[in-house]
Amino acid sequence: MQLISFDLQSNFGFFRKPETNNTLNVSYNMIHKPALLGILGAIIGLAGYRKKGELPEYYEKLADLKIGIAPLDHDNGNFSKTPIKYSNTVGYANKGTNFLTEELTLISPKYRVYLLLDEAIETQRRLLDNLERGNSEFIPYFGKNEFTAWWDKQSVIKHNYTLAALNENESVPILSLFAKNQNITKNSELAEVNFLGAWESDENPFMYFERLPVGFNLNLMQYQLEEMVFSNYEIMNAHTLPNLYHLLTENRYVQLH
Amino acid sequence: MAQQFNNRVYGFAMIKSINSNYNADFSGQPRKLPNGKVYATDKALKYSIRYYWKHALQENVFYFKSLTDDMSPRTLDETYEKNFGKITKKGNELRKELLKNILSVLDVKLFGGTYAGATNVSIHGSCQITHGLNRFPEDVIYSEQIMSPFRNPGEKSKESTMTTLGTQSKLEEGHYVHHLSLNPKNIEEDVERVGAEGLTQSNIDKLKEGLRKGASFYDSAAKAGTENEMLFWVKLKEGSKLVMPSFIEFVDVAKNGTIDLRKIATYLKDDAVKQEIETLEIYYNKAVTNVINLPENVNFQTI
Repeated sequence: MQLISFDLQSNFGFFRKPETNNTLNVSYNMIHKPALLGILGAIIGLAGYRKKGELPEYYEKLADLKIGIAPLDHDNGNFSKTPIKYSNTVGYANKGTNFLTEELTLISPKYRVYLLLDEAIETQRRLLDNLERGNSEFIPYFGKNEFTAWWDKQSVIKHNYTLAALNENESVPILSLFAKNQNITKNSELAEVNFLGAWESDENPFMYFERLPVGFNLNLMQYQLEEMVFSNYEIMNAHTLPNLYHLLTENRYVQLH
Repeated sequence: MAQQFNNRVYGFAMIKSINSNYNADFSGQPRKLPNGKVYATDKALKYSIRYYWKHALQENVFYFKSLTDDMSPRTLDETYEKNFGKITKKGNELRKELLKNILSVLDVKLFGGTYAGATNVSIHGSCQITHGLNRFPEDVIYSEQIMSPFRNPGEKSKESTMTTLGTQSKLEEGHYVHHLSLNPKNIEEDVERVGAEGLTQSNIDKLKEGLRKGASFYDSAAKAGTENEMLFWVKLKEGSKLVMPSFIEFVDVAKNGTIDLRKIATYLKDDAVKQEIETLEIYYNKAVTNVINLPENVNFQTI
């Protein structure tokens, strides 16, 4: 197994939140697992949505992949956004009249994507190969096909890693988004931000929360959401977080889900 | 059978806009990002290309507004029936027939389209164009008052003896860069499924012509002064699957309008990139456009 990371970016992005109505369509601020799997599927040429009620090929083949996401060049976790209004006058969208729609679009989104790849599996081996060569079967994009996305193949890094083995009361920095409330059993404490930890960095401390899709609810065929956190504070009780990996060279942690 | 086109292409189209309004938002001003940078949507460029195909090349264009005899826009199904005759089939048979029919049209082959009418079909176009950002260092928008030659009495002002005033906004100078990519694989599967004709060299020639001339050809009052300034076209070798970054930020425009391609030249010089490239083409008019730091081995032609 290899733990790799690469930096994916675009000039714009729009990851539609399905629970919005027609006045203003909004986007998730972070790329999320279902959207990322679509991009990885495009890189190795897997098929997308075909039939209503059926999962696309890329999801079937990649859903078990462990991924982690961290925003880059962000402002306390946020990307600036701009509302873009579109009019559609051809008359197809709304019988006989103009169809107007407005989308709150991300500006210059950029993410570091962590992947745990098993080279024994053919699709994952192909994915690693294409990432390292800067190749893609279909050209990836951020949510809408006019927002073409790319990565610099120099950004592909193979990390030295182990599964994290932490003691209670140990605070650690986590580089990626992590799920806030996972597997909390009776007597364990919640992972939380260590406000009292020493602050040695130049950046301002911040915490960022967003409810993000982590997969699909197959009965309802809709996103399954999870409260995710991104922070530059050290995290207390990180031993309660599952799937936490220790990047040895950087001495930092990432959660892959 | 016409000569097939199987190569991946990257490039950019540059639109110059002087005292003009290339792509307005709903307040009538050129579109702006929160940081004040002016931009244009991909739709603005695609519209000019479709308009050029339809009016200059007399090409059939499917995703374009057309009016019925009583001046209302046609619905999607009405447009389909006008082009391909009455819809008689149903279900999967209709889907296949419809896919084959619309895949024969130039704009659907290149830009794709969603059909949501008698049946549902979605085609991911082979040519994708991004939003264009103004690379000129300034974004100066000005508004001016214009007067209508007519009196316009309303409920409250029946006695008005004045004609009405309006406003129009323009951008002083802009050089919009749209990144573009072409991947014939996007439509390959659909083409095979219905036995349609894939992308041909002649389709590509028409796309390039639209990208070189569309915006200049389209002269409305708002868009007078908006012209195609440059087309940069990187054709990869057949079979290459390289992903290139967006060229938008690789293009620098100085205050005097000089276009600096140094960043692109540096990027294309890299051996791993160079070995994937079949041809490099650039189109602009040397009489009005000054370009420096051109990449090596680039074929120049006048736009």
